[in-house]
Amino acid sequence: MSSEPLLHLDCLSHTYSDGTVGIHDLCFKVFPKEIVGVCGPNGSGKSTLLEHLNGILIPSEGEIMLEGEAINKKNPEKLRRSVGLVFQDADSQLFAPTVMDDVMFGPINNGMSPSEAKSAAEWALDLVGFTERSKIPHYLSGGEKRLVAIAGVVAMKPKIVAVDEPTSDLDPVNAERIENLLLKLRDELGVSVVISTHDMDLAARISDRVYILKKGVVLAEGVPRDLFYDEGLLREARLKPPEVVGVYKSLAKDGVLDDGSRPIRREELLSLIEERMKRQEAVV
Amino acid sequence: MKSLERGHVPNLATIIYYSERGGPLNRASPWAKLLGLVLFVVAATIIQSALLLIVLYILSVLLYVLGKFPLRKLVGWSLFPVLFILTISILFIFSQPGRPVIAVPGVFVITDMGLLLVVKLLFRGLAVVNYSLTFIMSTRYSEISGLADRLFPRPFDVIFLLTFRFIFVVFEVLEAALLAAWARGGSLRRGVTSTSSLYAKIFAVGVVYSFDKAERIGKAMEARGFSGELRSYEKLRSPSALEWAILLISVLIVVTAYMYQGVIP
Repeated sequence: MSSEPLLHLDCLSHTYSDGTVGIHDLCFKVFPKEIVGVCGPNGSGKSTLLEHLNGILIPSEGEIMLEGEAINKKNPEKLRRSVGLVFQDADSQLFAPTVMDDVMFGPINNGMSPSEAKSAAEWALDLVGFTERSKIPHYLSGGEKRLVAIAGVVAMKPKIVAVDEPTSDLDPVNAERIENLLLKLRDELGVSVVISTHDMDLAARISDRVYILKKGVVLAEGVPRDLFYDEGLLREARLKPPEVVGVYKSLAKDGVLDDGSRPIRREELLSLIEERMKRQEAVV
Repeated sequence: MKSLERGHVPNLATIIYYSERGGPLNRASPWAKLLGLVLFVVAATIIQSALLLIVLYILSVLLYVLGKFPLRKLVGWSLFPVLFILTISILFIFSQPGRPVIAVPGVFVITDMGLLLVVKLLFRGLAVVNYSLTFIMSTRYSEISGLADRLFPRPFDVIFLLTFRFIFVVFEVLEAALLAAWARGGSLRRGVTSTSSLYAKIFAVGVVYSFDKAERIGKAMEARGFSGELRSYEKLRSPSALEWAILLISVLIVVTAYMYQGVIP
């Protein structure tokens, strides 16, 4: 991971016009080629934070730095070109009459010619694995809508893709499809990804770093392995630990697994159990 | 009646489906179809003969059928325009001179001219509605945005296009609200008057929700670089010689009908 952040939100605060505090004194960094998970219960400020990443919301206080350059009211388009935002409600994002028209919308706004925009849209749709270009977004399934919404942002070739609740309301197969796509963005395209989620299992599986938010404030920041084993922290944030953490803790409590390795992904836990069984067999 | 209830609001997805597929009218030049719309509006405005207005209405239905669009949907979509025209014309129906047809002494009199007025308004309105539907169902959104881009100066073209989209957002929200009402037993079958308060509520909520949804769509557009300018990338085909000929003949027919309508009832 590079030591220079791509995006740096420095002591950001945002208060809505009705007086509600969205986020308060929040510091947030995104480094190149990483997946950052933003976890928190409903109303913790996750969506407010994500809307600042793209310049949709302007902070009441604080500073946004993109690759060392300060972003203010005069140059939000720089932020919009570099950070793509995928909204939680894909229905509100897909407004054009066909999939192709919708995916071309962002590249056209970025100043691409129609032929360039079409190539970018074709490339993005291929990347997400969606082939039916002339389909009407209205008729797509929830998972397909989410894929097309991501393609619409990826076609703009941003450096960071922020996705609000990427797998909420999706069936397990579609959720896995989206999860693999997010990993592909990081691993194959070198794009940084920010996800906001209260799905702790998803955050544990794919995040390189995690921010835990509560009432618009960052409670903790770090690697999932540290944060998700901190019971007090999760209790304070009103979050449940990922399933793997829960299973490992139960097994450790029963003395089955007690090596202190703190697995965070299912495959890590399975390999620990396998090792333990092999050792037991050897003893027998 | 059930099918009528479920299909009396033009549905965006249906309209897009027909406008994006390659039907017979879809291949025509969007300019020719737009000039046709102007001609229809002019004809419906200047023609006073009831018979000619009925002919104009039949022509609009024939064009719709020629486009291979579903006639059953057109019948459903006609319900609201019919209700709207009847509501408007009811105000004038009692004040028309002529031979009394229906009369309740001392209460009201409806004359033959009053009824003729309703018939004229109905066919005039429906002819334009039918052709407008034929136009938008045979013209892709990118072509409509191309037409707006060339016809209106900035920012009116953007206002036009966003309004066009907003109308469909309202339709979508209304459709969802109506379905939710029907799912819980609300129905036009019980009569419009007995359920008018339900429909008024649905309409009011629909408008509020539409603004909310439009705001979210606007926000998502902004996130993808929209800065108040919708760029059109569609090359619009000019009318062919045949299309010019059809338009010219149509103009001649409208002018002739206007000049000689005095001899037609």
